[in-house]
Parts: sequence; structure tokens; C-alpha cells
Amino acid sequence: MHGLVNRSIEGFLRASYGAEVWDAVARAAGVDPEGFLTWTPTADEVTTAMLRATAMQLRKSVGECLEDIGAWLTRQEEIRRLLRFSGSDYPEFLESLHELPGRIALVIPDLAIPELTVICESEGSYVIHPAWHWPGFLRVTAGVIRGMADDYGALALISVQAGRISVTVALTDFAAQRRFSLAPDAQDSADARRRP
Amino acid sequence: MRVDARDLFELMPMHLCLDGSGGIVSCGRTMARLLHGEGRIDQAFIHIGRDGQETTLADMLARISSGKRVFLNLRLHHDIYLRGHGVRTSGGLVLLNLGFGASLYPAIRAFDLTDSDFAPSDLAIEFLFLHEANKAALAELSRVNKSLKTAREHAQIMSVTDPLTGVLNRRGFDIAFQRAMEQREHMPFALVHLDLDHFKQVNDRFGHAAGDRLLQLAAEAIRSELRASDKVCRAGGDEFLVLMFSTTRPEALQKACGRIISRLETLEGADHDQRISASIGIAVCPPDPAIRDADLFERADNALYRAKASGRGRVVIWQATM
Repeated sequence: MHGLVNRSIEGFLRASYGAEVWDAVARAAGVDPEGFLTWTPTADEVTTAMLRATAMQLRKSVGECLEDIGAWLTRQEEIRRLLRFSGSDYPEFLESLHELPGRIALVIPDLAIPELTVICESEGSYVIHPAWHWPGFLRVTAGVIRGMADDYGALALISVQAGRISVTVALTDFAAQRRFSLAPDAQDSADARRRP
Repeated sequence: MRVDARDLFELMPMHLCLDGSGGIVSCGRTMARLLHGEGRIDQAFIHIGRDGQETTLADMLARISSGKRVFLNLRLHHDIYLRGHGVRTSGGLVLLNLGFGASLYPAIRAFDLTDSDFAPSDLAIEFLFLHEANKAALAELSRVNKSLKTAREHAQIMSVTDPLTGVLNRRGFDIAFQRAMEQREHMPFALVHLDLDHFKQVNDRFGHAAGDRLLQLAAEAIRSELRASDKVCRAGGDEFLVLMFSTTRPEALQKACGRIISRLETLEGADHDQRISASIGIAVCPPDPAIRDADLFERADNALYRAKASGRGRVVIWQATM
């Protein structure tokens, strides 16, 4: 597995549950508690062992942990911004998900993300098929899609079944969406201007 | 082929359509925000010629009509340059299509542009995406580099440190000794060979833990009697080596090493039946370039042997007449 995948699990545990939980997971999975420094790929078993240890430690299923990791990724400002480049509202974000693997490949060519097909079955109802997938990919992606619904302030029902993700958008303006500007510093100045 | 101006407004959000005298006939959706209501191209833009200077309106129109690349500087935003080219249409108008080029970020900030302000065919969003992804990747790499650098520094220190006492190990001493030999002509030094007396008895009687504790105290005592520039090394067992740069005068060396011995004989923290002492042999490094490393160690060793033979707790400085 790509080193960034392991690094994401590490980052998620450290940020959400603290260094002690990360330490316990690392020891249980037999990885260096110092963490992942390079993007060098590791055997898939390492990632699997980390996820199992995470699930044990957090008393959740591996699937739930994966969704939490996906949602956590969308709360990292750099990643959130990259995802927001995909569309100005949530349906547009979903419809342009097929562009995401290509964009990721522009930046990290060796991170193999499967091609995604997005089918709009009816107004506000989408099905996302990956061309192929490794175990867990769908759950992480579902977590990302859930996290971005919060970011756009949309209310959506997301489920994973039989190799696909279904998304039903109930409301696109359920809550206030988080501010986004194409230029990162423009966002700060716009916020400053709005202050009385 | 006829295209309606209203369709062009959406299709080419960054276009301008001019009449023969530079009047703006129509423009794209995003361009309209840049124009600030100006009706003429020369009111909104400065045309930058090939020499980097502002040119006349006639020159600007000639260049646009000829299909060559044009660079336009926004009059109200001096940091924003548009680049593009134009064609003459059948109706005597000039159609000009522009992009932000390298001024993309200032333009986004100045006009609060969003992705819907760019044509889908425009690579601006891809450019921004790459730019930010690159920044994020660099931040992650710099975190890794910092962490590796710290680990490397730590490993370097560990590789030259005696783990028990924290003074230099033999490897660290050899590096320091090599440097001292290279600089001996302008920085004279003395090689001090110190052997603890009665240590073996304490070790045998009270065990290794007590012995280790005593070595730690001894190393600390030796270090505290020396200057910061002097180098202390535990060469193994109860043997210490010191490089002294602070003085090479025999009386001063005698005095300094005498102080080390009395300090070791009255170690704070050691029980009174764990009394130790030390014998010291010293070789002052002569400026003579012919002297070899081994000669110096041999001299210090000989002096130490003499010190031990003459009774414990002595300091002997090597002399040619010995």
C-alpha cells in the first residue's frame, strides 16, 4: 500500500484520539510508533494489520473506522480545499467525482486510485462505481463523500453496498456551507472584510 | 457561421468584441466584471508593447487585428496582466480572447472569482489544484525531512557517546584526536591517560551496578575539573582519555590532574568503603610534524605505567629522558 495511506491512518489516530492511542495501535500492528516518514510502499498486510488494530482499539468495525478516516481527510484544510475545487455545490461535486482520480494522479502518480463512474439515476440520486477497488476503498470514499456533504452544508444519505456507493441528496442547503475561495489568502481577507 | 453575442457571453467568459476604434461592443461574463463599466479598451487596459512599454491605441488595435499575442495590463489593478489574441470578424469587428496567465492569483483575489467564472475548457482550476496539491505535498515532505534530520543528529551524537557515562566513546575520541593532530601547530594539546585505582575491587565486592554508578560519578568528576573545550573519553573499563587544550605547561598540567585525582578520591555520592583513586600519565604533543599518533599514545602509556609503578594516585608527564 502507498505510504500515504498508512500515513493517513497514523494522522487520523494521532489527531482524533491522541498519541497514546496511536502508540497502542502501532505496537499491536507491529509498526514503528515513530510513524511513517516516507511514501515508500509497504506490504498490504501492514495496512490491514493497522486497520484491525485501530478497530480493536476504537471498538468499532473496520468499515466504520475507514469511513471516519475518509471524513477526517475532508477536514484537513489542504485536502478539503483540493476537494472543493471540484464543484461549486454538492451535486456538482458528486458529478465531477469522475475527474478526481485523474487530478490525484497529476500530483501523486503512484497512488493508484481506481477510475470512478458517476451515474445520476434521478434528480439528487447518484450511484458511484469504481472500475476496480481494493478492500476498504469504498468505505473511505463514502467517508470522504459524507465529509464533503457537511462541508457544502448538504444533507445526504450515503450507503455502500455491492461494490458501489449510493448517494441521495435530500437538501443542498441544509446547513451553512463552509466558506471557500479559490485563492487561500483571499478567503482570509474576505472574512476580514465581512467583520463589522 | 453566426454566433449570438449572448451565447458568446457564456461560452467565452473572457472575450472582448471591439469596433474599429476600440469601443467595446460586447464581452464575456467574467470580462464584464474586470471592465468596471468602461466602454473603451484603452480606458480599461494598457497595452504593453514588445519593449515592455505602453503603446498607442492604434498600435494596440493593429497588433490585435494581425492575430499576434497581446499583453494587457488592467488600469485599476497594476498587478494583473491578461494575455490573449484576436481575430478580425466579417462584420468589421475584432474578437479578442484573453486569459489570466500568471496573474491568476491576483485576479482571483481582486475579483473574488470562483470556478464558475472560468470556462470549463480553461485549465485555471487545474492549475490552482496542482499548485495547492504541490504545496501540501511539500509541507508533508518538509515534515519528514525535519524529522529525519533530528533523528540523524541524534544518531550522530549516540555514535560518538559512551552510553554509560555520557562522555565520548573511543570512536568519538579518535575523531577529536585526529582533529587535534591536524591543528597541533597552532593549538598545542596534551594527551592524558587516566586509569582508576581500586575500581576493580569495588566492582568485585559491590557488583556491576555499583561499579557502573561509580564510573558515572568518576566521569562527571573528571569533566567538572576540565574546561569545556577539553575532550573526555571513556576508553573502556576504568580507563579514561582526555585531550587538554587549556594548558600544556608541565606545572599547570600537574596541578590540574592533581585536582582530578583529589576529586576522584573524595567522590560525592560514593560510600566511604567504595574509595577509589587514579593514576595519570601525560604526553604533551610537540609541534614536530614527524610525530605519529601511535608515538603520542605510547608516551602517555609509558608515563601512566611509571605513575602506577611509583605508587597510586600519581601524575607523571612523559619526558625524553625517562
